[in-house]
Amino acid sequence: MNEPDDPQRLADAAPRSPLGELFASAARDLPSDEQIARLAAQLGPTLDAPSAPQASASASGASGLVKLGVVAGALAALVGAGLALRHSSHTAPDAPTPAPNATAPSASAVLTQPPAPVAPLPVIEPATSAGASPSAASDSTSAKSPAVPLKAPSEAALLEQARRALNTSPSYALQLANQHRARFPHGVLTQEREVIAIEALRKLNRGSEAEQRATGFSKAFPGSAHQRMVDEASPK
Amino acid sequence: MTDEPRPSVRQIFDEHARYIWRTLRHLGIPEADAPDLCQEVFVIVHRRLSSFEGRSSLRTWLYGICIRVASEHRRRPHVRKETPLSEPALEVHERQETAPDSTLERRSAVEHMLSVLDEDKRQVVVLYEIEGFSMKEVAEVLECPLQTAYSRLHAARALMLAALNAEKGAEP
Repeated sequence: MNEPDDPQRLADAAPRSPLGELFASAARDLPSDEQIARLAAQLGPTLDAPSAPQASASASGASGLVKLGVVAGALAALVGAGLALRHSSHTAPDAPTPAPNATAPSASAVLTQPPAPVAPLPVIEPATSAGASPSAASDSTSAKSPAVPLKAPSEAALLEQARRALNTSPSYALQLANQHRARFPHGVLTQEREVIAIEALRKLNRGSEAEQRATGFSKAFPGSAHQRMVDEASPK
Repeated sequence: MTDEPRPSVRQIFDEHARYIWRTLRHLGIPEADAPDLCQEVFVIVHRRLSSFEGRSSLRTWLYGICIRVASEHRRRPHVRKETPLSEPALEVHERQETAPDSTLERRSAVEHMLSVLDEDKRQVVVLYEIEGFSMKEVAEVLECPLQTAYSRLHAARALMLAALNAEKGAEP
């Protein structure tokens, strides 16, 4: 992995300098198998789901309901199972070359526009469920201190709430998705939010809005891994 | 475009996850944030893998994502306010179960040495000295001219050596 013109690495020098010793020890400092296993569990089905197709996937003949189970699973993996990003709004970093804004066609503006005013969230639950991040879950201090004011949910926690609400209260799920759009207009989970919102609209029989949002999604995120889910969640 | 079959996300994870984790840590991401940032990297890999055209190696592509995720993380307002580029102290409570004191001391020493560098130089040092990339690959990952990468490495080594000597001079 070295080229003729490259200087000798400090860790490869003999005898090693103190800096070389430091870098040699840094190279040995890997996470434990347990940490990697936990990370794999948190990523869940994402690791085994096919990556986004280049061309938009055509609808398969499989049952939409079955596929929605996959949607829920994938979202649980992406959103719920520990992807507690704990960040406020930011621009998603992406593959090396394109600047985030350069890759977003104008249709993405539709996805980042603040939604119509929505009622404030009734209750913000602390992230103590299985969906909480390991760091959050291990934060015993916050778990034992209910008197401490709760922080607003992270991007991932907010969407996990929305995902959980999909089956029981699609209107609440939609409200949470819209809250996410207002709070994280450039969040890293924008695509996941849109899938939830489209599915919630479909469950609420608001077909034209679902279709409109699905069209916006397709334009903003061509080739998205979630396109198939969007196709199946939006009315034909 | 190479003719080699594109690996799955799972294969990429199995092969690279622990090194991505290590890289994030050495780029100044606190231990507590490493799992979340690793997840971000692999979520992006999942989204973008089908558009990876093989113009660079998969490894340089992957580390390019890793570098950007770490860089973006540090620019987030709450991170800027709450944590400096380098964590001054280890999350000892989290690591004590698995890491002996000597490991913690070594890690602290590495972190201290890398903390004398700005972000650009630190990236070069981490990729070259720790992750074993060639300088050409370092330049590819960082999307900078090769000569710039060399200059950063040279300057980084001088800074670290000066810091080390200053510490030695300060010892009683």
